[in-house]
Amino acid sequence: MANLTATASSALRNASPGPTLRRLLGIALLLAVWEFVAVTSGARLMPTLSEIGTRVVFDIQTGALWFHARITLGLAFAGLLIAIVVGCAIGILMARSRWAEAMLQPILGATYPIPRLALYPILILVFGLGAAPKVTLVALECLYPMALGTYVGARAVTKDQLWLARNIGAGWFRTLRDVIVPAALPAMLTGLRAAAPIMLIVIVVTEMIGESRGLGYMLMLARANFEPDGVLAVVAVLGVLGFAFDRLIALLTRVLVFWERGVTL
Amino acid sequence: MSTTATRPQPAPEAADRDSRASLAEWMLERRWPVALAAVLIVFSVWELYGRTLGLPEYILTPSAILASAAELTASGRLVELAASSLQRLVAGFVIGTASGVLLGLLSGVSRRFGDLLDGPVSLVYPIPKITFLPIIAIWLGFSDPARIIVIATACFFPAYLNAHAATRSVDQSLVWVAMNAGAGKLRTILQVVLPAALPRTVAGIRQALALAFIFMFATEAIGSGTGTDAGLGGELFAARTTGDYDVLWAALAAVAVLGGTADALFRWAAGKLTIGQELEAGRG
Repeated sequence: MANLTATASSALRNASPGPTLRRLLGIALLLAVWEFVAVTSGARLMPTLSEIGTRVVFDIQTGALWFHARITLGLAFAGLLIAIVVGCAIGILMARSRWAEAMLQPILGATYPIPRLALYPILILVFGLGAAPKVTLVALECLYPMALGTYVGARAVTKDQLWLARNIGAGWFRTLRDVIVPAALPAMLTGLRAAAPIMLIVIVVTEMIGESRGLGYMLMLARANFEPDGVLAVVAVLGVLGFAFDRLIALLTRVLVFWERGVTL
Repeated sequence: MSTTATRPQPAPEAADRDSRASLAEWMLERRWPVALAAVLIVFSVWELYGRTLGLPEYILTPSAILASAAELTASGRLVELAASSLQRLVAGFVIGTASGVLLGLLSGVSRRFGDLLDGPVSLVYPIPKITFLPIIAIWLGFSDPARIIVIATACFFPAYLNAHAATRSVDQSLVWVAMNAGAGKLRTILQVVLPAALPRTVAGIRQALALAFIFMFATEAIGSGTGTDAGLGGELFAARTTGDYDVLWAALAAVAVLGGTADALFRWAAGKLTIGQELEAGRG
C-alpha cells in the first residue's frame, strides 16, 4: 500500500503540465452529470450540489460539524501518533537486526492481507467501548505502512556510512539521529502518506459501527433520518480532510527532505 | 532482498558451535523459520497461560478456537457465512479491478482520455470510500448490491492508479524499438506496452484484493442483519453483543485464513504471470 499515494501523485503530476484544462473538464463533466441527474430525478433521494453546500454551511453554523470532527480527528491523530512511534521503531529494528528482520518481515507480510478491522470486536471486549479500541485499531492499521516505509528507508543506509559514523566516534544515538533517520526520512514520509488515508477510513468505520459521536456517527444519523444531503455533506467534508492531509504531508516532505527535491514522493 | 547477500561466513571452530551457528544461519537465510518459531512461541505461551492461570472468558485459547472453528465448519454455519461473504467479495473485486485496470490501461495509452479521467479520479480518491455505503444504502438499502458497489469502488482506485502509472512509465525506447521494427500501434500496445506494464498493474490488483477483504468486512459490520446473509463480518459483530465468543473467534480465524490464502494464491499466480519480471512494488 506504500506506493499507492506516490502512484496517485505521480499520475497526477504526469498529467498536470499542459492538459490541466482537460482534467478540469473531466471534473466539470462529473459534477454536471450529478447535477443533471439530481435535478431531473427531483426527489429528495439525490440532492443537488447547492443543496449539499447549503447543508455543509448549516452543519458548520450549528456547530455540529466542529463538535463531531474534533472528536474524530482527536482519536485519529492519537492512533496515528502511536503508529508513527511504534512503526518507526519496528522499521529501524528490522533494518538493523537480522533476527528482527527474519522474525517480523514474514509476519508483517503474511498478516498484511488480513483485515485488522476483524479485531475490533475483540478490542472492544478488552478495552471496553469508547476511545481506547478505536485508537488501538487506527494505530494497528497505520503501523504497517509506517513500519514498512521506515524499514525500506533505513535499509538504504550503506555499510560505508555506518563505518564512517563509527570511525568518527559517534555512539548509537548519534548514529541513529544523524545517519539512519535522515537516510530513512523520505521513505518514512511515503509511509506516512499511505497511512493518513487509512487512518481516516478506520476511524470513520469504527464510528459508523455503534457510536454516538464523531463524523462516522453523523453519517449514520443522517442516513437513519433519511437525509441524503446530510450524508453527502459529511462525505464532502471527509474528502476535503483527506485531500488536506495529503497536501500537508507533501508539504512536510518538501520542507523536511529538502535535499531530495524533485524526486517522486 | 539483497541485504542478505554479503555476509562473512562463520569461522571454522568447534564442531558443536559450528553446527549451532549454521542452524541459526540457515534460519536467518530463509527467514520464515524464525517467524514461524516466534509465532509458535507466542501461541504456546497464550495456550499455556489460558490453561494454567486462566484468561477472561472472552479470550479463547488457540486450541479452543480451533475446536470451535471445526465444530462450526462441521455444522455448516461457518461455510454458509463464508460463502455469502466471499460472493460479495468476488463480485465487488472483479467489477472494481476489471474496470480499474481497463480504464487505467486505456488512460495510460491515450493521454487525452487519461487527462479527462484523471480529474474525476483525483476528486473522488481522497474520500474514504466506506462513506459511500450510507448514501448508497439510502438508495438501495443495506443490500448485497449496495455492498458490492462499495467494494467495487474501493478496488477500482488502486487498480486504476497502478495500471495508469504502469503504462505511462513504460520505457520509451522500448516503444521506439518496436515502432522501428515496423510494429503497428495496436501491436506495439499489445506486445510491448502491456507486458511491460504488467508487474506494476499486478501489484495494484494485489492492493485491491487486500482492500476487498477490508471492505467486505466493513460493509457487513455496518448496518448488518444477523440473517443468513450476515456474512462473517456481520456474524462477528453480532457475536460480540450476544456473547457467543466461540463464534466470534471462529469467524475471526476464518477471515484471517481466507485473507491469507487469497493473497498467497494471488501472489503464486502473479509470479507465474510475470516470470522474469521483478514484482517489487507489490511486496507488502
